[in-house]
Amino acid sequence: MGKPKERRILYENIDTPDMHTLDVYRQHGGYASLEKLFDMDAEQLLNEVRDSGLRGRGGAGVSAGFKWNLMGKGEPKYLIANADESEPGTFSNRYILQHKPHMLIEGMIIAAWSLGIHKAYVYIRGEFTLGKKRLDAAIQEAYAAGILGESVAGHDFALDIYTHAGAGAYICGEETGLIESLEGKRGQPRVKPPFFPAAIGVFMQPTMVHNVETLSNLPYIISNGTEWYQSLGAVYKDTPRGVDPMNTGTKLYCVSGHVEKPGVYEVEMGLTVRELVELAGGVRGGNEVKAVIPGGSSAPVLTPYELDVPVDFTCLQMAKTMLGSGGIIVMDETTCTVRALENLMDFYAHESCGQCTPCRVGTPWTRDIVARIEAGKGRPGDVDHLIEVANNVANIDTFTWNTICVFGIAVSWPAVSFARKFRPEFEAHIEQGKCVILPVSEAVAPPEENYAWPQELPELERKPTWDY
Amino acid sequence: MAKIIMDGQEYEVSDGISVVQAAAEVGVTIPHYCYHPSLGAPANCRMCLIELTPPGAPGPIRQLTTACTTRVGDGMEISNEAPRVKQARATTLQFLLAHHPLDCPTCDEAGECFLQDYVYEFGHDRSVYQEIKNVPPRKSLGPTVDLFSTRCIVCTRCVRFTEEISGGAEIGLMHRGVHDEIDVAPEKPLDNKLSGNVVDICPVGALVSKDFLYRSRPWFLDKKPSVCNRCSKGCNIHVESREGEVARLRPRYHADVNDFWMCDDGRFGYEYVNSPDRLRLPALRKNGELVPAGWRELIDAAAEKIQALGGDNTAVIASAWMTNEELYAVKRLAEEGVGTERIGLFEGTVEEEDEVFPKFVIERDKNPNRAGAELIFEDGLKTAAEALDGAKAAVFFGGIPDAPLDDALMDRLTALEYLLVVDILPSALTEAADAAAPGTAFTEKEGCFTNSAKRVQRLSKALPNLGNALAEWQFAAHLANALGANIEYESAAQITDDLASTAAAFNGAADEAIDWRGFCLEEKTDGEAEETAPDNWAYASRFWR
Repeated sequence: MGKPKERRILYENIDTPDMHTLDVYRQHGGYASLEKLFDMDAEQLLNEVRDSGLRGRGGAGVSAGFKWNLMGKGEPKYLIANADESEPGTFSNRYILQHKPHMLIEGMIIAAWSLGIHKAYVYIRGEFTLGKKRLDAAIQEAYAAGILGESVAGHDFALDIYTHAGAGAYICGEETGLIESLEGKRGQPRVKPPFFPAAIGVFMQPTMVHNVETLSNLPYIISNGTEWYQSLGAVYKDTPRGVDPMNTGTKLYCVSGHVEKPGVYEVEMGLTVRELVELAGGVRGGNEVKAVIPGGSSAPVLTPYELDVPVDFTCLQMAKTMLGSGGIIVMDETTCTVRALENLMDFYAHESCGQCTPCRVGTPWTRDIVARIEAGKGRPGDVDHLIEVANNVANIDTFTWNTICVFGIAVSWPAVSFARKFRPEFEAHIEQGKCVILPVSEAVAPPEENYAWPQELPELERKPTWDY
Repeated sequence: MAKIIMDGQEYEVSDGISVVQAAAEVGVTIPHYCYHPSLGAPANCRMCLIELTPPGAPGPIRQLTTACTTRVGDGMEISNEAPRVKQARATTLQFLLAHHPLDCPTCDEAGECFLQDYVYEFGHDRSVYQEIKNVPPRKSLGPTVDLFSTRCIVCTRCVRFTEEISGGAEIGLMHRGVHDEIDVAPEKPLDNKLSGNVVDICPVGALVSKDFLYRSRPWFLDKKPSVCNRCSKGCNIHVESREGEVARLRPRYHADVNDFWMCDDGRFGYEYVNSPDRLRLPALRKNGELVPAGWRELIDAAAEKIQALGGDNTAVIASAWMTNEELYAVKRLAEEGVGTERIGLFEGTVEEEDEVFPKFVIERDKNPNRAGAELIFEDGLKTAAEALDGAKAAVFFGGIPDAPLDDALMDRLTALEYLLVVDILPSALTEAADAAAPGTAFTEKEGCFTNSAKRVQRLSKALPNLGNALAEWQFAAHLANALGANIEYESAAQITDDLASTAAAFNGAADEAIDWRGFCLEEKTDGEAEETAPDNWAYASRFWR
């Protein structure tokens, strides 16, 4: 097997100078999908997207076609592009906004036409000033060129796109929190049921919320067809019931941490963690990998024993973690996992919206326990205590949460997985009353002891074509 | 009706209500903090988690569901007993108590605190929290309400109350996460006429009434259902008293009258009842000075005077703050005893307009029983001034604190040859009277008020009469009998029955027919209005203290 290679589709030509302008984008085939688009009706498009196997790239991995199917019938409907990319370790959308904003607009036109939407919003993270500037300019250009407005690209279809800058809250990346924030309220997620955005969303109307990356996939699916899209990515022979076998397309992996060449890598899904780390230039200074967070900071951590897990929806779910937003954080042997967890918990304690009890109290509580252990003030039994408190917010073993939104999971999963998988290092902190960094082999609990789901990974039927 | 199965038992409950309400209907407590039938269900306390099997589903759904946001459906199965439900509730309480100061010994709410009750019933018996607690400061939210932030569980009931019911949105949620704090904006205190309600809806001891703070333990209070006397709306209340004094008034639920609320005019307008100046003894003017006298002496003297001056020349002035029963006794006094057509009504303030809040109205007429007086006296009723025009003597029933006695009326009254005043507080009028008799305040009365919607609502005698005071109906009967009538009443209930059988307007409103929800004089034939109103009676009886 050769060296794994990138397969750029969304990021194709992203480094081309002035790619953010309409002219350059058009020179490279931009807005080509619109020619095909208006010949297709809503049902055709829905089938197209469903059959392509496109899954939401924001975190939950819900099938886009499935979501479109649930869209309510009320008028008006709204489309929201979620550009609040707030998950630590994730930075792929910002480059799309900065360098290929027209791709997002094109994707939004496709989604809007398919669902009969005439008003769309882009909720941009407040810190993305350049991205917002570029997107705003791109929208202006598109209006001037007749791509947006009363008649989109000369067809009898009106679409307006508005941008809205968030104020930087993590929870406003959660779709109902985003909707509340967009409405001008406190960014607090809504209770589901009944407030599923597809039924009751922004301004109490049916709303489709998609991640920027998901929307950016649409032009390529429409231009090249579902079969082409299905040919990308991993396919598994048989997966247990309940696990969605669709892993089509490419994914923007944001590899960060202790690698030689951190950055966004677009590859077909199905590459293993080890291959991804290799793609990013390997671990810095030839060090050993100690821990890898595979899907943004909310995903349960992987140990060196699990580096051969393919990084896609199916396999990560079977390894009891998740693809999430595709933010891969690599930690090498110099990392103290307790310190790493404290850092994460500090973030979550700061970002909890405080609406519901388990999260409001549980998040700083777990942070305090971890901080205590890291500061050398841990007490015997603290690791179990930590796991119990975190599991009371959201239980990793039963996949349930007592909170309103899945923020509870985002807190509990890393906490429980770090504490279980790196238990020896946690215990060493408590015993020695100070921060100690154990060698990798000693720091990690053996898999059979602490991995809740020791699963056989499904066999890959066809390796994708990254080997060319 | 919908059939549900709860904890293995089959029940029939009303359609379309939340599971919390349905459980209350059949006598099961589903613990909750943030949910309130009139304030919606934000589902943020996570206390009412249940295991739910939707109709037709093969088994319970994986996630626990909040009972407050779930509407009952036919065939739904609910479990409060599943181990994971019990664990979820216990851990939620554990979280709620993590930063709680556990200062029950000095907390006003102790004894009627839902945190105490639920922890006792559903929680753990010890804390596992070993970290540092948050200690936000105690604040004053406005002239009537204080906030002990440490005890707050951020259920946001008060926030929603000021947004949805009173409409001023004074209370807000500040900061984020564990630093969440209820607060008001600088220079914008909680200062509206419904502010006291936030204390009632607070499920813990965070919001406290400045008026009641540290005055009594709730379990020492003697609690009696009654009706507010501060306007013609007739809000249902509880009078809570201790050692012969009113300690506080709180709203009592009524679907068609006041929902769960009452205004601050009523809530805090009871001070006069506790006033040390209250009239306690009958007094007669002797040698130019009012001196205490016995009832017999006063009544005989009054009867003699009235007979001397002539019944025709005597005005009987009733008060719009008297109960139906008292008014009826006064009517009989005027007709059978005194024999006069000079019957007038003395009334308290009437403002220009109702005070309208988004979901509550304070009525303009500050007299609790004008409707009753109008129905009882019918056409015979004059204003006080009309009745006094040309009169030589008057029997004047007051009982209205801070009553607006204008100069013209005062001049008329003081110009009389004989003036008998029945009142509860000393005033310029009692000073000027030839005889002053102590009456009863509304907390001491038995009987009913008729509110502006013609609903007859019952008061209960929460406090004993002060000193030698006589109920107004007793006094009226005694005076009438001294004047030659024959009125035999042994209790207010007898008058209620008498009124129901003699006055057409009160047909059917016998003592037995008037329950604590009142008796509607106008709708007694169809009763449709009561069915369409949102019905939270079952909820209120279980969760409204």
